[in-house]
Amino acid sequence: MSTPLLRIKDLKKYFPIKVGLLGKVVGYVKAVDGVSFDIDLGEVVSIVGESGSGKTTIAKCILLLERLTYGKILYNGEDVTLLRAEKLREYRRSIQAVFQNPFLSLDPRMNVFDILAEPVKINMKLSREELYEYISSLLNMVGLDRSFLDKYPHELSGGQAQRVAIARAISLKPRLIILDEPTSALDVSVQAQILNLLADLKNELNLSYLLITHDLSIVKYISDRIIVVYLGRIMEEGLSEEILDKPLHPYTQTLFSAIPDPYTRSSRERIILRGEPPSPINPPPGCRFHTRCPYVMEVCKRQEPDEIRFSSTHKVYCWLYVEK
Amino acid sequence: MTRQKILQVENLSIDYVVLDGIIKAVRNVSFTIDEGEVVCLVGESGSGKTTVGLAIAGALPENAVIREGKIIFRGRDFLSNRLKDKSTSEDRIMIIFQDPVATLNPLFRVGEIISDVIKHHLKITNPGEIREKALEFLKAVELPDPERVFNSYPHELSGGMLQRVVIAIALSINPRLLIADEPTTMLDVTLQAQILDLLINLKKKLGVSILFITHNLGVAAEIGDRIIVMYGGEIFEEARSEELLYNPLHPYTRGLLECIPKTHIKYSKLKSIPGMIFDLMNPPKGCTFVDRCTEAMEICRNVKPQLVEFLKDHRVACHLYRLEER
Repeated sequence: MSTPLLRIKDLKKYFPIKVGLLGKVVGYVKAVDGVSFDIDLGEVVSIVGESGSGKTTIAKCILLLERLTYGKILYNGEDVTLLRAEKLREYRRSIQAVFQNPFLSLDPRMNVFDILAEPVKINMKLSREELYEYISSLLNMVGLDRSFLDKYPHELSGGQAQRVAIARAISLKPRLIILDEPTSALDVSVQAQILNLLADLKNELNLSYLLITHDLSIVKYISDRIIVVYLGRIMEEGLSEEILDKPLHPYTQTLFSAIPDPYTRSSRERIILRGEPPSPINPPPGCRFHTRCPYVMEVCKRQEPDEIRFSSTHKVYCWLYVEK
Repeated sequence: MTRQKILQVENLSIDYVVLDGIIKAVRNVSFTIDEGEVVCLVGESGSGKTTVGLAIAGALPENAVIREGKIIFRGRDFLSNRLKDKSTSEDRIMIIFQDPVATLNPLFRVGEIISDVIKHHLKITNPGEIREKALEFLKAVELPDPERVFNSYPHELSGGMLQRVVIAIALSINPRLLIADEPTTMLDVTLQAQILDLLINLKKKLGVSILFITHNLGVAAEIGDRIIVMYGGEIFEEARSEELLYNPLHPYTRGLLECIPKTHIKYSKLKSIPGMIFDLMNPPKGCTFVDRCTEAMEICRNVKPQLVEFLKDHRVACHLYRLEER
């Protein structure tokens, strides 16, 4: 079996809760609590979950913006927390990110040229003409023209700013881009443009994406595989078609039924989740979803369900599918 | 049986005066809301939907100028008599916004905020009675443990709970009209579904009319009796929800519907509307959508289409639909 581009093994990230002057640790927020998955070269994996599910923390760990509490992240088989010097720089170049709000991720004091040129100047040796040509070609790839080079972020619309952020992410020829809610701050018509752009770039540049979102409706347009997380744990994972055609976990089903789709208003049976996710400081025992699950049984409250495989790719963690 | 009109907006035009010139945010907008009806204003950023909402709530920022038009609420012209007897119990309009965190003062407990509103508007002075009323409404918005919420500061509650608190405050003084400006945009899809459900239930229970402002046609379909599509400060199309969804006339409405990710159909690629909104300071002479429209004709560049009732209860502003050719 070939090595995946990125392998996450039993990743845990606990944030200590400190009180008082001395910072006594009174507990931990278990943001990510044992998550494993792979991303292959050229593959798009989506992580779907509500606020507090730990999806952004997973991204931060991969970007080395957070230290892992436990577990491993392997890039081409190498443990990324042990990378040093040139190897570490290479890793950082290979993994780029696009965040939700482009106006927060673009420096308001730099024009588009400077924003795009900064990482390129540091990482590639180009003459001034080559740099200019390269930056122009980047803008071209994201559907903007040269006239944008001397604009500042405040002169851009949300969609244009997000295109600049994407141009910056592809500027160092990465292998994987982490897309953290890349369209949720945008209007629907612009959202569609950006999703299409991302799909085109992926094919052109043979990129992998890790798409993080709470909106199941957008993931099918772009992803190969979907992972549904809740309170720091994986609930269900599988190929996009598997999850979309036959969502098995009650949580996945409720996420689907929450999507406002104008054409299924009356025909679908809506499952509305009551309440909000419990606190990740003291996650419920047993299955973490049992406090909100419409099909909760006695066993769910006591014991965490094991992985149940429906196909070589489709896995679900739910007692409903355990044969008695 | 026709229901009584609670709100009539007639030929409303609003400009914003800014350093570089004048932004024509709303142009010639007319619509009505019936008693107990939910009307959705749908449009992208820059469509003027929020400005319309603010104008009706009387909360326009200082640099906004109402050029012309009337806002008639329960038979009285609002713009000319705004200051007189504004808080008789029949005439209350409340507005809720996108970000509940920004709406609630972080220095006060939820209970203090809601009590203050009740005391001022309902002229109740007995603290016990105020508290009772406040708790009644915190319960009505299905908050678990209303007592605890009453004694909490905003930062102790989650986004979904805060939005419920804001709705409780808005409804506690029996408004006749509730303006909800993107109240679910910041929430996760599961919480969004909860809040929409709550608003529908409260509408039935309290008989309040709602003007719901959103950029998401899917959300509008969930909650709206009628949908008004705005673009660049003008109304492009208006119809009952089902009619608009299954028989959209305007190319812009059709485009908007096509770019919503659908759950029941599979596309390999999402459709999008190319281009972006025109410069609001210099709107084009003809139809403002002409540069992005796939069906643009010669006439669209030069002549502005009028909003006409092309089908029964279905208004559209587009040269593709002309009354004489019907």
